[in-house]
Amino acid sequence: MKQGKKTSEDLYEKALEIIRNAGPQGILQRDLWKALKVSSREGSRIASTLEKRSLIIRERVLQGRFKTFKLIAVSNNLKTSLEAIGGCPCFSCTNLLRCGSGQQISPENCEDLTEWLLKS
Amino acid sequence: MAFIASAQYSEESVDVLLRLIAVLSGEDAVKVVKVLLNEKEVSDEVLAEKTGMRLNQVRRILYDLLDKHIVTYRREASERGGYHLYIWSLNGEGLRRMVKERKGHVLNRLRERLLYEQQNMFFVCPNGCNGRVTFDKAMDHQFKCSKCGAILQSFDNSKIIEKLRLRIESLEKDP
Repeated sequence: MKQGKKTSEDLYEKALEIIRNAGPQGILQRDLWKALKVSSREGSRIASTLEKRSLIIRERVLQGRFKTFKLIAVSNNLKTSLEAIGGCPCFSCTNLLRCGSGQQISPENCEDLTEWLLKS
Repeated sequence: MAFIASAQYSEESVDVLLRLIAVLSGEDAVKVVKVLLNEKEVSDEVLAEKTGMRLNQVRRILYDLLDKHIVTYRREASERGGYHLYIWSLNGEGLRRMVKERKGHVLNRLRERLLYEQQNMFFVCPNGCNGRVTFDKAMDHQFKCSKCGAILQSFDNSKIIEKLRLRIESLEKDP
């Protein structure tokens, strides 16, 4: 039982590496399970688990007359991603999702945002 | 676990991340995430020990963070058998997705603010009584401060526009 679990984790890692190597255009799910030398059922389960773990995105595509999925790895540049925010208070604001032009809470009259903008 | 990129977060990035987690899941969740940032993988029992919180409290936070894709876990059979150990770690990819989504919202808010700044003229009281007022509001008060009565002066918002433009540009380049 323990051995089976370990093999499965190894397969996930291998699958993720293949998907990441495919780059932003992604890889077809059927190409993945062929590369992993597993059945289509297991390939589908691996892809579905990786999607649940937010590691990949699955897009439904039609390949000829077969329905399959395109698997795309999620980008992995968190550090630069956070630096692009540049201290803008909106990012960690509790009202971000409620805020909007013409709303009660609006970026036009937000004091925190104004303060940040006036700070050179 | 190879799923978690062992990225070295800069101090600024960690600060932004922790502030966001405080907003989404509360200050107690920040304590848990701080431990997870230092340790690669850790069990819920060790987390409880290191944060000084009760085990059920830690588990409640972990399930909440799991729902938000901030943490992930793997299950391991206990050496003594009979039960499973849950080993927790930060979900780097989930965090990235969350940051990306939130950045999209920030970008929209900044675009709205830029439009507002470009479409309006602003006035301020020379004595610094109120904040800025728009042309329409200033006209309603005959260009006098509603508090001290001083004549309002026009406010140059070109620096604000420039800062907004730069930030929007960098967010568009790195969505």
